[in-house]
Amino acid sequence: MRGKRILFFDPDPRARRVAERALAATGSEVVSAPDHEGVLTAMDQARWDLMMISYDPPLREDPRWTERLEHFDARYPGAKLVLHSTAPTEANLPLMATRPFLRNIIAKNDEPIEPDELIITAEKLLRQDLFGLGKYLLWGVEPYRVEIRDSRKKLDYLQEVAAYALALGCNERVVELVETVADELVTNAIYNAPRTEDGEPKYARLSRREPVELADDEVGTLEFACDGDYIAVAQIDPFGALTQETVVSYLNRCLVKGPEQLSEASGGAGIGLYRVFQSLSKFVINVEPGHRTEVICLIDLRLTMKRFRQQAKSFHIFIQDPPAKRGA
Amino acid sequence: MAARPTFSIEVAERDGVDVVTIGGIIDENADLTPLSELGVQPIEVNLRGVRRINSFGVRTWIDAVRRIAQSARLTFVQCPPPVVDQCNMVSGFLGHGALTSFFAPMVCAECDEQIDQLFETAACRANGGKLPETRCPRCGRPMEVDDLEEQYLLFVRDSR
Repeated sequence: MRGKRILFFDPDPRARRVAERALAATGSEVVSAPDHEGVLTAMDQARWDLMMISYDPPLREDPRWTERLEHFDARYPGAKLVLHSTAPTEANLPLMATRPFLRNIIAKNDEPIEPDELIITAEKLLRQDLFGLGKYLLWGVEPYRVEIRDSRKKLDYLQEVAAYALALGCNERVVELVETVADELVTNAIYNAPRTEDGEPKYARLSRREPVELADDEVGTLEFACDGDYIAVAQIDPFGALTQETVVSYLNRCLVKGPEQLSEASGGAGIGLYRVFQSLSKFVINVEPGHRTEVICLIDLRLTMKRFRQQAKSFHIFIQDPPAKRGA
Repeated sequence: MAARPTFSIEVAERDGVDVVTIGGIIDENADLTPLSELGVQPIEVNLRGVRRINSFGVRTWIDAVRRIAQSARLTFVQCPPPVVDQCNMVSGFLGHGALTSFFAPMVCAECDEQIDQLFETAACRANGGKLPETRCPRCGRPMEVDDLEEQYLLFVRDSR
């Protein structure tokens, strides 16, 4: 985006070349730091709209970086931060639990870094144009849409998604992943998303065996699409009640195998998000607080199941800035 | 597309053992009462037909397994990958029972043949916590598991 300034750092020169080209293509001014000393200096020498920084060693272990990360929002007001990392995303979730300004982690796997994801992430943050499954798929792909209205029709909704995945030629395990994601997203749209006028959860404490039919202004949408590389499943609700704290705390609780995994506090099991997270390659949550939430799950179809399990997952929570901040 | 199977459960007695056969999807529509109400004689649960378990199904399942009498010998056999995944991810999924045989998704790197192969847990334990060698039925070359073997076989280590 023209007029915006991006600071990028990765210790791998190939990643820097990819990022410099990709981010410059957005029209922003891009400065790529050559080493971790350089990025520490650059962070303080100028005002940045966005910093996209490798969270791998050696920077990760540098106390000067830790100090900057600790007080990022106070020290760099208005700047957005995106980390990229080769570490499993699970290892970075505790970091996100205590740092609300940290919402975006791009997984770095075999390739230097995916230019598409850099561009999409940067543009979403800088333009504050957050919503839409289409941003993650090739141009021209038309998503299928199903209205989520009635818990008693959940199997019908899932049947449509499964039929779509089977028609694409996905094998049984991939179809199971897709169904798992869709199942939990539909349940989330019906039981967890709806709020009362006071903003309190409306159906969350109901057993998932209790049928719920959503009112017209509560109805959600399930979308699914594929561009050959990724199959995407998304859920949209008109509430915007999902928070970073909820997502990260649920995932962190479930990642530790033990008696705390299942939640007694809700009518479900409290592991739906975790099951979604385990079934995807990229997890994207867009929130316009009080208005709408969009959860996008992308499954990389190019991978064998073994590679799928090995790969780190990208994790993004985009929260719409308040109007005053957006215009600033 | 034909409707994919939902949930089924059947209980039969065979030589003093209650044999429970479960198939389909374990979710909020699954009624596991026939399993949880069994008595104290040995129970063998065959899970070969289970396609998927959702988050509410996990809770339903754990509640049902916990209600089985502790004195009943409980074994789970022919567990497919969705069940193995749950055993590895969720604490208490097997209750006081033991998983004695399971399917693993095998793939041949040479000819791309894919099969779900049945293994005995005891054989894996005897093999140092690894899958015994499996030959490709098409080309005869050794197959590998299409998953992270160490992660897929966590339950073997955990159940020692």
